[in-house]
Amino acid sequence: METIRYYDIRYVRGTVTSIQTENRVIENAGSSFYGKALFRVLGENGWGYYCASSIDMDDKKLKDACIQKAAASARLAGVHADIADVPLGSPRSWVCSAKEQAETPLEEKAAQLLLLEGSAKIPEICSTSARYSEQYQDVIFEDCNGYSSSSSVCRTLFTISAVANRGADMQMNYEQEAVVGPLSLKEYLPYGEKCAKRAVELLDASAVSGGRMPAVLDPAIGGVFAHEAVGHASEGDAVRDGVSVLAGKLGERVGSSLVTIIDDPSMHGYGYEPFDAEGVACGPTELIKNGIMHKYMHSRETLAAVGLDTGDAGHARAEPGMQPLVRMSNTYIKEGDASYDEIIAECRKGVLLIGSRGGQVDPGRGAFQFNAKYGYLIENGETAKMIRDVSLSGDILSVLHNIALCGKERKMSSGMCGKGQSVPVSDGAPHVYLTEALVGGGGNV
Amino acid sequence: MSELDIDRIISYGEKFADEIEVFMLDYTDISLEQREMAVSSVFEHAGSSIYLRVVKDNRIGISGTSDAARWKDCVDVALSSAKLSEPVPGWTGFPAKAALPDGRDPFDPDITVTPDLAAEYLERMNAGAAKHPEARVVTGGVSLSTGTAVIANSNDVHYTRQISGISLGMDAICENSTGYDYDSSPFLDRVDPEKIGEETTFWATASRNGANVETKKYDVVFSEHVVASLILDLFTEAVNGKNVLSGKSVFVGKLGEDVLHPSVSISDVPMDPAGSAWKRFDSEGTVTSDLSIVQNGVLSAFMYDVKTASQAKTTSTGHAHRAGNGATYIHPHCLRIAAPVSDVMDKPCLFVREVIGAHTANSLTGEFSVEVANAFFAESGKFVSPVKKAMISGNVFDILRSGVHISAETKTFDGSVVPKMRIDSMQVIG
Repeated sequence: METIRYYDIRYVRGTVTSIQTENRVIENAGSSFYGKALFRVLGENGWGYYCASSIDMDDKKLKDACIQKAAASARLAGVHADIADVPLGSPRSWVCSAKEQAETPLEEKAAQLLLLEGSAKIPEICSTSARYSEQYQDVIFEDCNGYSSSSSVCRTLFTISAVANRGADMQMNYEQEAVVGPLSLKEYLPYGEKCAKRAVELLDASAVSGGRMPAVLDPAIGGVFAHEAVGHASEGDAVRDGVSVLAGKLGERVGSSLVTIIDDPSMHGYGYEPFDAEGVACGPTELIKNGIMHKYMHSRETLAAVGLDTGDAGHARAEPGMQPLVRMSNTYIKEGDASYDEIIAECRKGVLLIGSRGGQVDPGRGAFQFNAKYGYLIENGETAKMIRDVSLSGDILSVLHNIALCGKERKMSSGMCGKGQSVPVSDGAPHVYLTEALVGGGGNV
Repeated sequence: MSELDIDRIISYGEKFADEIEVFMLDYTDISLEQREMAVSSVFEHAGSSIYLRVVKDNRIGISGTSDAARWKDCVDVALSSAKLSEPVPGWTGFPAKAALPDGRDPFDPDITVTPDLAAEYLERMNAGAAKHPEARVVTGGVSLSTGTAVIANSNDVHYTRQISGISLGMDAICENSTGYDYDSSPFLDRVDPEKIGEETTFWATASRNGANVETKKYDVVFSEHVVASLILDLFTEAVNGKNVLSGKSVFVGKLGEDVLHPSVSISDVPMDPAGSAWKRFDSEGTVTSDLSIVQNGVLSAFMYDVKTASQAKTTSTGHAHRAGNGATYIHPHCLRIAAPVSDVMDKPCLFVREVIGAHTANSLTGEFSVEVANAFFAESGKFVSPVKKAMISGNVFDILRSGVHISAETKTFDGSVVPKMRIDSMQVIG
């Protein structure tokens, strides 16, 4: 018999239905089914995992056999780990029924998606495509102490993309909405034309010449900044392993006093979790509070390893069948008191970056990079020429000090975050003014 | 699931559809993860996935599952979804049975999914890492897998591919400088764990105390990693037949035209001896063959699967891969780039081993603006000084149009065998 200090089982099953249209034709539509159970055992010196493709959770004999397989793996580990005692459960569970959406025939959703895509067919648009997806996922969790919980969450999204063409020049734009719960495509029909118009405008935009300059981040790219620059470096595993520039900085000033950054899995955003992948109750964690490093995000293991007073558990997330990792959920910069006009005026000469094409960070070096969909030059305190293919990079510890103004209105954007596993997240911010940023671009303006 | 069950699925589907196809993957894998120079966790996984497509009146329906017991649900869903899809113009049908070319599967019988073998490779990585003791190894990992992939359809195709794999990765930190390396292969004797460990700690150690860079144009050498993740990834998108058909490629309508420098040729060689994913048939059963995509700068072909080839009134080039929802997607098997070969590090250059944010490049236009990592000024093949921080900007297609030099030595990735590349006069922002 193997030594088992703790075990839990996380069984995730679900259905994903998607529709893809291309130039107003349904390319494909269909559903796939998945079910994976992860058996996790903490032995004397580390973790053992066994993943089964699908199981009957009432089959005790089978579950016992899988636990023993995970226990046998745990016996091979040689790094002692403890787990902190923390509140389990889902104290603020959100009932996000999507019954009506599930009952709507796929044909009707496909017709709406075609309408949405069709509205992007405006002059100079040579190609359009759209995708709709709805995922219904059940999680059943139980541990060796008799605790059990379950949840059902629906996630829905659509994307629309448009390619504009004028002579040899081509530009592309895309828009996306992703929510927890139902999403009615009818309400988003104007997104097609909005997406297409932006793609056409990009044909006239200029590539910016890079350099150090002041920058204003819109809520979408400000959210990516919060996620990439601060969120990843505040994850408890990076802190425990000494590969975060924010490790050891609790209580220290790491940014301007205007900066408060929060991660909240219980928030009703795309990263919502009723309880985390360890069955732990979720809630908001203030990572940076008024410029001071305040808390880290933790799993039960990293909380025990880094210190019970260093942050909150409840931030473990996992793909179906994969081991829980410390992850962000809904991450945002808290609102300030500046108006948009005040921020642009204060910047005077720089760039306004809008929308996100994604980003990446090396938390150990403290270096991050992200790319905007487009932007505008700021001249004499006003927005001027449109720019494209513009990116921003920086050192986490420098840039946080460069935040001079935060706007009054925050917006959240949804997407996926990859860290070996891909999980749904949202991030957001108000408009944020940086007194200096390293802006990248290969153009001349 | 036994092969008898695949026949059962096909028999069931044929009652309702004109054609049916089953792609099935069975696999077993084990992963060892390391922290504090010891194994911190062991992960074992066994399972199977089934991906289905049915065709009714030239309409394709798709489905997939990781729960083999639900295959009947999948067939029913695929049949329903076929009703919704538009008929594929010129649909030529799933591939028919054909003679497969000679060649081995990407399978090594010496790969056993056992913790002892994984632990041995982990220890060998650690031994290599110890050559640069100032760096601290943060994490490391070794995964081993074996399995089979079966493609079968109602046109009598029934091919089986045995697969195996080892993947290794490690990351290290030295002060505020990080390094990592990884490798994967179907064959044990093609990975060098000691070298991966040594490279990891070398990059972390050597990148310390970087200097600031003046903003201006420099001659730049991209490592194999950067060529693969930035140059070849964006090129691949542009020659993907689906993107071409839908107007999302800068190469639309340019077959037969000069699109790259006359000294540059790019081809896909599925059974390239140096490659890591030998494929005699693709994931829908089309027999693969070499494909010249750009020959001496002239665009000569796009990559297609059966569906996109039907739409383009041509034949599949055998580049179908399988997505989780059952649909196919197009991807190369083993891209090779040919260009003037030289000692790319001989003249002074900025060597860029890695970039942060390669995936944020503009996949349509080829524009990129990314942060460098593990970058050095180099002279006569030697690193002179590390770079603290810089961004590089450019356009992938302009780079390939302007002419480049490549190294003789290559590194193998999943989907390509890649040299270093020297690019003259690239914008660097310090």
